[in-house]
Parts: sequence; structure tokens; C-alpha cells
Amino acid sequence: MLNEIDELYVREVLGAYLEFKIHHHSKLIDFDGFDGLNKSNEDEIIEYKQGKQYWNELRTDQLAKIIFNKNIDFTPYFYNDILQYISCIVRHKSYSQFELFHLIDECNGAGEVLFTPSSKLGNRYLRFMKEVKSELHRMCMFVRPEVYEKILVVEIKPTHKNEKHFCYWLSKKNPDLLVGIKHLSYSLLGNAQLLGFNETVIIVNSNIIAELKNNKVSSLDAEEIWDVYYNSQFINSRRNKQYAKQMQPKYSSKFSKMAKKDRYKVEKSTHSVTLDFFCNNKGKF
Amino acid sequence: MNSGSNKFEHYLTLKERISILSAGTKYDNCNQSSVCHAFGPDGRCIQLYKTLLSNNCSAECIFCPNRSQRSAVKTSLEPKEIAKVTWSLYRKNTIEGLFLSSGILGDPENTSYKQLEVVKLLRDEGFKGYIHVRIMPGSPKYLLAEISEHVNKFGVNAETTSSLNYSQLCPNFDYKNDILKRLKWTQKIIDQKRKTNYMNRTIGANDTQFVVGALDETDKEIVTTMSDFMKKYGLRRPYFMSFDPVPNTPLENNYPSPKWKELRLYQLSYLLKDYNFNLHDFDPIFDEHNNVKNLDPKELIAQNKLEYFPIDINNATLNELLMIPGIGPITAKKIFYSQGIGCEADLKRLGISVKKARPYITLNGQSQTSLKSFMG
Repeated sequence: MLNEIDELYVREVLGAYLEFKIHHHSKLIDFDGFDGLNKSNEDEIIEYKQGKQYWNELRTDQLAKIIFNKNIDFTPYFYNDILQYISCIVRHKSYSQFELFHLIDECNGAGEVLFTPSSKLGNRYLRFMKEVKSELHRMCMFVRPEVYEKILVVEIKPTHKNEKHFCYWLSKKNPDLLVGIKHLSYSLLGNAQLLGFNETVIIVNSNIIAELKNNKVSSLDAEEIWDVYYNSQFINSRRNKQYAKQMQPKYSSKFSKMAKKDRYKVEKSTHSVTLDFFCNNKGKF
Repeated sequence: MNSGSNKFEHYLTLKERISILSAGTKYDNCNQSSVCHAFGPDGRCIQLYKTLLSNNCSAECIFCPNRSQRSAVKTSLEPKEIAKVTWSLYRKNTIEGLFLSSGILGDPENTSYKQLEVVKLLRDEGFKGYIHVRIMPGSPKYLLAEISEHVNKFGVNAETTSSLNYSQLCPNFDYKNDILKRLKWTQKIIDQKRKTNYMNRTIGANDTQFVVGALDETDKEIVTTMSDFMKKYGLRRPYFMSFDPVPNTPLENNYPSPKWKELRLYQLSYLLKDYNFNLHDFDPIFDEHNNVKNLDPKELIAQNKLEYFPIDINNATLNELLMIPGIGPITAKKIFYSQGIGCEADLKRLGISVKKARPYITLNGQSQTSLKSFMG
């Protein structure tokens, strides 16, 4: 099933699409453009708000079943795939609401068309979905937060709008700690329910995160221990540089210093040759 | 059993001990989820903090670097230290959890008790990550039950295929009593836990590890044992460790097992587990010495069952789709639930290896022609 963050993204799209199907005459305003909505015709706003209220009474999967009504034999697993697809698309930097509605229209009620597209638009959006998914996955793999007593803090610069999803993922992994995500333009606070909020992830002022950072946890230096551990796992006879580079590609370095170091070791192996080594082995070369 | 010699113990820093004890588990495979946090220079995914409690083992397993009679630096970590390191790496998002194994510290009961201490400590501190414990052969039942309260996965290493082989490999233990009996116990505990859904934590199915190539046993024997274990003990995920000769052990002059064998055996385990294949389907993949050939086993099986092919991809059952090389359980489901595949490009988009699948499928009445069909 969708998590609460995906729910937010997908419900808006599906609700708006259904509303748009009913009111063909209405003007479509991009979701990010609520300011634009306020400036436009007041009747349209009222209509939209009423529609929104109606669709909010239905569950997201029920909305999907209304739109993709040719998939009645499909399993809930497949509906979940469709909802995940839409959630990924709306996070893509180049996504356009008009194109997405056009694509859903193209499906004509058959959800699998999203995954086996025949049109240029469908292919492009399938690529969008994969790009967003893989960026989030890479963030979960390679981002290394700073650890404080009450909060984990990390600064990220995702290409797509993946910051909320990443914050949610890290919060679920560490339910007993607050999670602070510094983004380019704003900050997010994960596990906000620990401070009495209803939602898991909320948008906050960066100062709040700075205030929550108190003593850095330094009883064990995680970075040094990680290096020791990483080096211990190396099996020389199984070194496979090509495969390792493919698994830990260059772009992993941009997520954190630690990942950059790991990438370096993949490239140059774990053994570091120092000046001491040459001095101690004088005459052997 | 004699307790291990302590003559090599000297003061070691925490980092040195971490390095020694983690190196002791580097051949253990124990991956659990799709999030890998790093990849080693050999390309293997690193997602758990793998460590031994101690390498000061009182057993004399002839292939093992930690065997009691081998000269090496012996050391151990306290449960508190393991918990601290695990927390520290987990918070830094470098791991998803802990994999805990150990040498035998005096006797199996004492070792399992120490393992229990570690996992209990972590859970009491609120650790929500993944914990996988390799239990000791001969561990008492009550400790297995207690360990299962805290872990996500646990199992005992079978190492080999029969009592006779086991008595050669690990002379201190009895295969039937210390391994098979424990596998039965763990299976019962897991079944019970899964029914009650304890603390909303899903406990993984039984797991075990085989050492490949240490003795003269054939690959067919390993595959047969694996299949038996799947039926008898609910084994889902067997692990394979290629034998590498360790200096100062009785097997130091033996040849290492080729690394590709591990891969082929894993492929066979997936065919048994996820593709509904049976043991008798595997005949074409073994050579005259009953060892696996270094070729894709699914393709070999398909080549040997040409009477079933080509399969009409739009009218095939799930089981038929799973027989086609290049199609896995997920892609088979996608094809099955789609409303008809129009062309090869559709298959590509679903993530299917069309090059592999092409000789074995019919798409809209068309299939690849082979030289064989011309020959009649």
C-alpha cells in the first residue's frame, strides 16, 4: 500500500483528473500553481474545491479503480504499481500535469499501458518514473547523515522532488530520533510526531533544525569504524573492479563524503600505500 | 571439548578487534533487502554489519581459519561493544542491521547465550533494524526459542551433505543431532512465530550455508540436499561459500573451488524456490562427474525440453512463462496480467531479456526459426 507521502501526491492527481473529466470546459492549472489558481476565475476555484472534497471521501485505490476500470481482474499488487507510477511521475523535474492527464487518457482505462507504452509520451514518462525511483533508491543507499543526540541531519540536493520521500524513509528507519533534511529552498523535519505533530514529515524553518542540533554523538567515530569494517570485507582473490564500478558508480560519490571514499576504494583497492611503507621496505624495490 | 588456547591473546584496540572479527565473516553471505549501502571492491553488496562474537573457537573444523589448533590472533567483542558499533553504523545509514556469528566459546550453550545477550541488548535499546544470527551447532532448544524472540532470521550451518562428510569436516559435532535436529527445531519455532506474527516482526524462513568444494562431494549431492532441506526444514535461502584453502589448516594444500560454482548453485536454488522446478528437471545441467556445468542452468533445461517450446506468450500460464529463459517471476506476472503483448519492444519494456527468450516463444503466431526446424 502507499505510504502517507505517496497518498498526498497521488490523491491530488487522480482527484483532479476525475474532476477534469467531468468538467471538460474547465481550465487546467498546474498543481504547483496554486497562486495561479487564486488569480483565476472564482467559480472555477469553488468547483475545484467541491470536487476535491468529494474525491477525498474515496480511498486512493478506489479512485484508481474508477479511472483504470479495465483492470478489474488485476490484483491489488498491480493497482499499487499504478499508484507508485503516478507518485514517481509527479516528482519528476520535467513532469507536466497536462501531459500526465493526456497519458492517463491514452490508457483508456487500461493501467498496464503505462508500463507497456506505445506512444512517445508514454515512453518518456516510463523513463521519468524509472529516473525518480532510482534517484530515491540511490539516496537511501549512499546518503550519510550527521548524528546528533536528538536528531539526524543531512543536506541533500535531489534532481527530482524526492526529499519528502527520503525524509520519510529515514524517519521510518530511525523512529526514535528526529530527522532533519536540509533542502535547497526549505527544510523538512521527520518523525515530527515525537514533537506532538500529527504528520510524520513536516516543512520547517532551517533555524528549528539548527536549534535541535545539540551535542554531536561522538562516543564512537562511525566513519573510522566504517573504514575498518569496509576494508575487512575485501577478498583479494575475488576482486572484480569492473563489476564493483558498475555496482558503486561514480555518481554515488555526490551523495556523501563516505560514499566518495568507498567509491575511491572500489577504484584503487583498499590498500593505501604511504611514505612510511616505502621507508620501511627500503631496498626491496 | 577443550576450550581454545588463549596464548595468542594480547591487548588489541577496539578497531583492531572489529577488523579481525569482521574479516572472519567476509565469506558469509546474508543479504536481506534491496538497499545496499556500499559495494566492496569485489562488487559484493554490503548491507549488514557482519561480525563474529569471538574467533577463539574450541572446535577443530578442518577448513576453518578459526579452528582451535591454528595459530592466529584470537580475540572477541563484548555484547555491549557489538551493540555500540551496530548502533553507530546504523545511525550513519551505512548498514541495515547486524549479522552475528561466532566461534565456539567453550561450548555451544555458552556461545548461544552470549549471542542472545547481544540481540536482547539491541532490542531493549529500541533497535528496529534487521538481525540475523548464525546459531551454533548443538545449541540448546530453549536458547533457540529465546533468540527467535529478537531476530529477523536465524539458522545453523549445515556445511555439507551427509553425516560421513560432516564428521570429516567438523569432527567435534554430530550432523544428525547438532545440525539436522536444530534445523527441525528452528523450522518449528519459525512456523509458530509466523502464525502469531510476534511484535509485527516477520521472521525469515530457515537458512543454512554449505561449503562448496572442501571435500569430494559432488554438486549434485549439494543440490539434492538443498532440495531435501527445502521440503523437510522449510529452507528458503541456502547460502554457498566457495572453499578457499586457509594456511595452517589440514586442507591448506587443497585446490580452491571455482567461484562460478557459487553463482550456478545460487541459480539452481532460485529455480527450486521461485520457478517451481523439480530436482529431476536438473539432469541436463550436471556433467559426467555430477558437477554443475558453467552455463546458464535455465537455458540448459529449456534446450533439453524443446518439446515444450515455443510457448505462445499471450496464452501461457504462469508456470509456462517461468520455464522460458530470460523471464523471471516478476516479469512473468507482468506478462500474465497484461492485456496482450504486441511486439518484442513490449517485452523489452517489461524488463525481459528478449535475446534469451526469443528462441523459446511465439509472439502473434511468429517464432524464431532454427536450423533444427529446417533439418526436421
